Amino acid sequence: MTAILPIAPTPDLGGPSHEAGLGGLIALVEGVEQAFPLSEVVVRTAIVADCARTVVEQRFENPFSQPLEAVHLFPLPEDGAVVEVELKAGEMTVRAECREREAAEKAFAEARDAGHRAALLTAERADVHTLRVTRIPPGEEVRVRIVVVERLEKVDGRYRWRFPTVIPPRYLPGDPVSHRGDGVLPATDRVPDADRLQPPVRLNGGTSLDLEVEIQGPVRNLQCAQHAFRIDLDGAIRVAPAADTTLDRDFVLAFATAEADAMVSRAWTDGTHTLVAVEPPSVALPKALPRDAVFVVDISGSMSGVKMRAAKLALKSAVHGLAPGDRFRMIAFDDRVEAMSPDLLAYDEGTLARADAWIGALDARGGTEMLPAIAEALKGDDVVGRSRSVLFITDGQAWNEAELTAAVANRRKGARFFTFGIDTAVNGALLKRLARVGGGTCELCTPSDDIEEALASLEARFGNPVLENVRVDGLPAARFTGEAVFTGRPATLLIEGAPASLTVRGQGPDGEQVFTVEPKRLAFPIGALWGRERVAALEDRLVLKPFEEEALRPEIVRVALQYGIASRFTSFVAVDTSRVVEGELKTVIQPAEAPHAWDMMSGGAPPPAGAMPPPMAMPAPMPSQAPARYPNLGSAAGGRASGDAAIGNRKAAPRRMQDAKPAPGGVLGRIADALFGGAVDKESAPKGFAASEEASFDLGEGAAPPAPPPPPKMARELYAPSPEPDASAAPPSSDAAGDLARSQSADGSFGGDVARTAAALLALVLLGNTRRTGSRRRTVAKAAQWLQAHASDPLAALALKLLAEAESGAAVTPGDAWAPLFQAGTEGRALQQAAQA
Amino acid sequence: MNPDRTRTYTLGELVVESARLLRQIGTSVSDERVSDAPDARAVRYYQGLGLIDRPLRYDGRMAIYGWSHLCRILAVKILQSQGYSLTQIQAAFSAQPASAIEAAVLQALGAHGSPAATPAEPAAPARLHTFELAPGVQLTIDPRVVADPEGLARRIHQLVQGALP
Repeated sequence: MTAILPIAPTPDLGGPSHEAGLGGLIALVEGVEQAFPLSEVVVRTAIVADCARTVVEQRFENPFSQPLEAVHLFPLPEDGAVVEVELKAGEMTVRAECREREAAEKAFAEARDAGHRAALLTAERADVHTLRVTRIPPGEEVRVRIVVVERLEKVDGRYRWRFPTVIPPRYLPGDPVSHRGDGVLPATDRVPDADRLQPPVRLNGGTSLDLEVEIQGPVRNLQCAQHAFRIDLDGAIRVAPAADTTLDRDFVLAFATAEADAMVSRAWTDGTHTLVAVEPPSVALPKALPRDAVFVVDISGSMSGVKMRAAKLALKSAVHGLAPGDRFRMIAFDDRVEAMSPDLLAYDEGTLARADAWIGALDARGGTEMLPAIAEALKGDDVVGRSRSVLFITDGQAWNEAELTAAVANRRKGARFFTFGIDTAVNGALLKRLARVGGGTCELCTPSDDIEEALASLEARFGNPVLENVRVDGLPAARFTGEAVFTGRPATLLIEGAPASLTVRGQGPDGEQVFTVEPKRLAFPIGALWGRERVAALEDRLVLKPFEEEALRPEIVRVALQYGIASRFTSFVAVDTSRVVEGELKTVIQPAEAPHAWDMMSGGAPPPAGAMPPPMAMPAPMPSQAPARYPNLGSAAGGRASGDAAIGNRKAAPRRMQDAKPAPGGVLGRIADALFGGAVDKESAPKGFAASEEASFDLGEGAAPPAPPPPPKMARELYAPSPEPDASAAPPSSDAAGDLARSQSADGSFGGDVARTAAALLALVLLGNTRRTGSRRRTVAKAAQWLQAHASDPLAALALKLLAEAESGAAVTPGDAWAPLFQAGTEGRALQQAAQA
Repeated sequence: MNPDRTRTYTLGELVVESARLLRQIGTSVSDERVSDAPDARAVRYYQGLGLIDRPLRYDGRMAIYGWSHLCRILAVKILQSQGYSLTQIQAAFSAQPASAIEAAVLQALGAHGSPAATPAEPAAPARLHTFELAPGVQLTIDPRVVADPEGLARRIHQLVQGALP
C-alpha cells in the first residue's frame, strides 16, 4: 500500500473545538453574510437612430483576507460587439487589448503569476461571455468597464432593445467527455464547449443592477415589459427601472420614434461602413398562398408555470389564425416528441376542435430535447402552390445551438422556420439564429406580454417575406446571403463602404424592386457592427460546413482583430503592472440568480432517484432559511434533509420548516440529473441502461430517471376536452375579443349562424378591430368573408355595412336594428357588453 | 477509518463512501437511526450550485472525483443536519478557503472517533500535520512554515517511495 494516509489532524486546526467535533464546520458558516464578489452592475445605454451603445460596469469586491480571482459568466446582447474593455481600480485605469484568445490567456496567466491585477474577457457564444478578474487585493474593489455596440431591432413600427442579465439553467444533451472550463456542466460529445457556459445557480439574494437608457429624439408608445420604470425628460429621454432591480430577467424596452414612424428605408454611415435599414415596401400584397403550417411547442420542464400558459395561448392563437384551405400539424416536445397527427390535416371544424383539445391537455415535463422535434417538424417535401412554414414556440433554453442551427438549415428545403420565444430571460441568441438560417423571423416575448397581439402581428408575416434576397449593388455585405424583409420586420444590411447614394435590390412576389437610399452621417462605430455581423456569418458557415474550419477559423480571427471585437477566438486582456498583490489566490465563480418566474426554480430538490429514505420517527429539523422569493428552494434542501436529520440532531436546529415533504419535480433541484443525465449510479445500473441514462444532461429539467416508456403516440390525439381550462391565462372578462376569436369556427362563422356571426363581428369592431387593424383583424376578416356569402340576410348586410364604415374611420354606434343581434347567443351577450362599454 | 486523500471515486463510489462516513458520524450522535446519504442526484445538484468543484477528470464518460469532493459533500450534509440551509452553505463555501473546509471536516470525522482516526500522536504539537507514508513511517509538517503540507507530503512520498517498507 503506497498511498499516504493523513493522520487525524490536530483538534484545533479548524476552529474552536466543539463537543460533537462539528464546531469547525459551524464556525465556517456562522457570520458569513455575503460572499460573492460581484457587488454591482451599472449599465448606461445610449440609443441613437438604429443603433445602441452600452457601457456595462461590473464591480467586484474582495471581502476575504487573501487575493481573489473572480470568474463571471454573464450574457450580453446577442447582436452586440464588445469593442472596449477597461480595468479600473481607484485612479488606475488600464485599457484592454484585443488579442487572439490563446495569447490573451497567456498574458493573463503571466500577470496572475506575477501578482498583477488583470482582466480577461472572452465571448464564448454570441450572448455568453466570460470575465476573469484576478489579484483583487483583500478588502478592495476592482471595476471592469465593457463597451458593447449593437444595431436595434424594429418590430411592427417599434424599436426593441433587450438587455439580458442572467444565463438561465439550460438543457445540455450528449455524453460527457471532459470538464475543464469554469461552468458547472461538462463538455459533451454533442456540445464540446458546454463546460464554459453554465454558471452555478445562486440560491439567495442578487446583485444590484443600476440601469439607465437614454434615447434621442421624441419618443412615443414606450413600454418596458418586465420592469416598472421611470422616465426623466431633461434633454434626452432617460428610462430606468423604478425599483431596486437585480440580475434575474431581461430588461426589455420598446418604443417608437420619428424614424420608426417614417416607414421608409434609411441608411447610416460612419465614413467607412454603412448600415441600411430596408423597410417593407408599401405595395399591396398579392393573395397569400395556402399554407402548410407546422406548430411546434416546447413542453419541457423549464416551460412550466406562466411560460407554459403563454405558450399554449400562443399555440391556440396561431392555430385559430389559419384559414380554410390551409393545412396544419402540431408537435409537442420535451425529451420525447408527440405529434397530434402523423401528417398534415385540413383546417376545418373537426380538426380545429381536436387541436384545441390537444393543446388543452399539454403540460410541461422533461428535458428540452429540440433536435428530434425540429427533424419531425421539417419532414416532408415542398408542395408547389403552397407555402411551408414552421412556428417553433419555446424558451430556447438548450445549449446545443450548433447542431440545432445545422438541423434547421440542412433540413428545411423550401420551408420557412419561424421562432417564437417566451421567457423572462429568453435565449435570443439561439432563436434568432434558428430563424436566420431558417429563412423566417424571430419574435421574442415575455410571459407578461400580450401574446395574442404578438401572434396577430406574427400572423401577417407567417408564410413568405415581402422582399427576398435584398442586396446593395456593388458593395460587400457582412452576410454572404441576401436578407429577407417581412411585413412589419425591416431588414438591416451592413455594408463595407460609404457611398453618397446606394441602390438596394430585392425580389418581391411581383418581380424585382429597386430603390436608392442616401446614407446619413452617424457618429457610431458601424464598422464594429459590420465586423460582428461578418463573424456571425462566418460562425454560421462553420456550423453548416465544419470541414471548412481550417479556412474559416483564421478568417474569424482576422476579422475580429481587424475590428477589435471579442469573439470565440479573440479576447480582451488588461494587465495593471503598477502593483504586486501577493498571497495565495482564492478563486470564486460568481453564481447566477434563478430567472424570475421560473416555476421549476421553486420546485424543490433533487427528487429521490431511488427509494425514499424510511420515514423519520419524529419531525425532522428543516435546514432552511428560504427567501420569500423562492419559497420552495428551502424545501429543496429540506426535502433532502429530512433524512439528514438522522445525522446529528443533538443540537436544536436554528431554523425549521413546517413542511418536510420533498416537492416533486422542481427543476432547480433536478440540476442534479442534469449534471450527469439523472443517471443512477453507473455501476449499479443494468448494462445497456446506463448509456441511455447518461445520454442527456439537463441542468434544470431532466425527466426523472429512469424515464418511463413513452405513452402510445395516439394518446394525446384522442384526448377529449381540455382538463384545465385555458382561461387561467387570461380572465375572460378582460379579453372578450380573445374569447370570441377562440370560439370562431374554422370556416370563419360563429356556430354557422348568421346572427351570431354578425353579433361577434360587431362586438370585435366595437372592441377596436377591423380587417386591417387590431390584434383580432384576422378574426374579423374571416367572419366578414363568411358573412359575405350570406349577404342576402339583412343582419349579415348590416354587420358588413357597419364594418365598412368603421374601416373608413366612422364611429360605429348601436342602433335599434341591433336588437335581434343582442339575442344571438354568447356572441349577442358579448356585443351587448361591448355596446354598453 | 480515515478518508484517504489520494483516493479517487466514481460517482457511485463517492456516494457510497460519503454514506459510510456519514453513518459513522451519525451513529455516534443520533442513536439507532439510519442516516441518509446523498445520492447521485444530490451530488450533481451540489455541483450545479457550485458547492463542489468540477470532477478531477473524466475516464471515458465517467466522472472521477477526489478527496475535496468527498469533503464538501460531508460538509454539506453535516451542516444540513445541524440546521443550516443550502443558501447559508453556498455563501460559506464561497467565502471560506478550501483548506479550512477540509480541516473542519477532518476534525468532525476525527472527533467522532473511529479506531483508525484516533490520533496516533496525542502529544504532538497542536498545529502540526501528520502523514503516514507507509505503515509505521510518519511525516510531520508544520503548516505555519510550509504553505502546502499536503502537497509537500505527496512529493516526499513520491521521492522516497522506493525506500519505504
